[in-house]
Amino acid sequence: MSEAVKCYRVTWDEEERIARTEWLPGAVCRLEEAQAVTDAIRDMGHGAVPLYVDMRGMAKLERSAREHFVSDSGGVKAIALVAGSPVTKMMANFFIGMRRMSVPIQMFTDEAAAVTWLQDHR
Amino acid sequence: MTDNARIERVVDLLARLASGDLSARGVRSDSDDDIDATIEGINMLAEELEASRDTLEQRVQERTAELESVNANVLRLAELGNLLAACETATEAFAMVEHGLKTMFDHLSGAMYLYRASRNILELRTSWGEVDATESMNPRDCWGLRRGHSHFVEMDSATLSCEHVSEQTGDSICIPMSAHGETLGMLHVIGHRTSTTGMVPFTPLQRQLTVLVAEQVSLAFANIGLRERLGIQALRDPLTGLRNRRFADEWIHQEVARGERNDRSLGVIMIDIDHFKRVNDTYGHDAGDAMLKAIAQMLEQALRPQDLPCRYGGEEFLVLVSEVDVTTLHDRAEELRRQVEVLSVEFRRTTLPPVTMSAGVAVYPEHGKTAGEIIEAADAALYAAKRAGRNTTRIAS
Repeated sequence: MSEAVKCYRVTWDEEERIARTEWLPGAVCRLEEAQAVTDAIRDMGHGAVPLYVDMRGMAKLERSAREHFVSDSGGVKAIALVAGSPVTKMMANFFIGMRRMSVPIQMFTDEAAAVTWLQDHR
Repeated sequence: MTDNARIERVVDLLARLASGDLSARGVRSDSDDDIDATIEGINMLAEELEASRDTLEQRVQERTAELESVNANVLRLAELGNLLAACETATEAFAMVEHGLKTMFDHLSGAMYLYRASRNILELRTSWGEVDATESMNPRDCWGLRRGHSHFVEMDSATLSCEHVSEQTGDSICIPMSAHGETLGMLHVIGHRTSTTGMVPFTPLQRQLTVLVAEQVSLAFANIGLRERLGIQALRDPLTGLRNRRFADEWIHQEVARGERNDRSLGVIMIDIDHFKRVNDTYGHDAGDAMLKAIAQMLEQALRPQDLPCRYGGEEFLVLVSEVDVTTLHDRAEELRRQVEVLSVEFRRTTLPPVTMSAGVAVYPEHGKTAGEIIEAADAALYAAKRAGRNTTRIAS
């Protein structure tokens, strides 16, 4: 697994053949982090991939970052957002509801269900 | 802080947002509970509303600026229309159009083409900005002219470019210039890249404005052409093509006024064809007309370019000569008289019998101080020539 470390981790799950993004506790996703994540996924060299996003630790998803994820979704085929707390569920639902993504996107509270859903979008 | 207090803060936050303060944001606790989730949702919604408001405000500003620009251009267009209406010649109008187009489309380039009289080629009449305009073009090379209405090409759609456009450097539009049912030419306006603002695209309002400009300019040129033709008709004799009596009278008045200021002389030769009535009576009026045309042609060929032969009426001609003395004028009249004597006129395969002319010459200021006095003096001299047996020239006394 390759890894980029900051307030997030982006890794390639060879077994599931999905990209994984994990936001560390208290992470604030600004435009800078959003760009770094999409660049890292693209740099993996697997083309457009299913993306698993664990945002259970995320403290804030800034508007500029939301804009970026919508405008630069070329590197992914589908996105599974995994939320836990009411706040992260709100962020996930808001992102899904307010933005029109060009790829399938869904919120989960369970990692296994999210990965299973992504398998259908490989 | 109790949940009730937190909920009161949420209500306060909603009240601020409802009052229009879209910068208001709520602060979450560490509870990460439903109240915090509600605050986060409200915050994100406020961010979206604020961003939408900023975008709309920016659009309003841009639209306002564009409308102000269009308004200014409409005023300029009206001014250009007034100026063009005052132009008496196409040359004057071209200068006005060039200035007007530069002012209205200062960030665009363009060129105006007008049809040659032959109507098979358009010639470049004016251009401005950075356009690489060809000096002449075939009307088939322009989609606007071929289709009969404006042809707009975006820079990215260069395959739709006209043949006369050497390089599609920006959005462009070709507008046929038509008035009174006739296509006079074509206005070509093109955007270009600037070092400060980058590519300048055409807005829909600018496109409408270019069409309005083309219509205004077309109408002005059509009117000028019409006025010029009417002016020529008003000052020309339709039978012989020579200038007419009206022109002759105006010319003498102007030259006398100029002569007073500059101490310059002028002279007139008044000519009458001898026994011209016999030609009409014997051979018909068509023969008489042929004779008058032949004499007119002879006068134009025999005189210097700066001398002005006019048909003064009937079989009377008047030659207007600037800066001449009486001896020279008399010699010139005699030369004309000799040429009339030997003039051979064919009419319906018949050679008409030769005619002669009598002439009276008068010069300013010797024979008159006003236009009327000079004409009277020349007329009296002509009468003296008639009384002397015709086919002769007399100088006014």
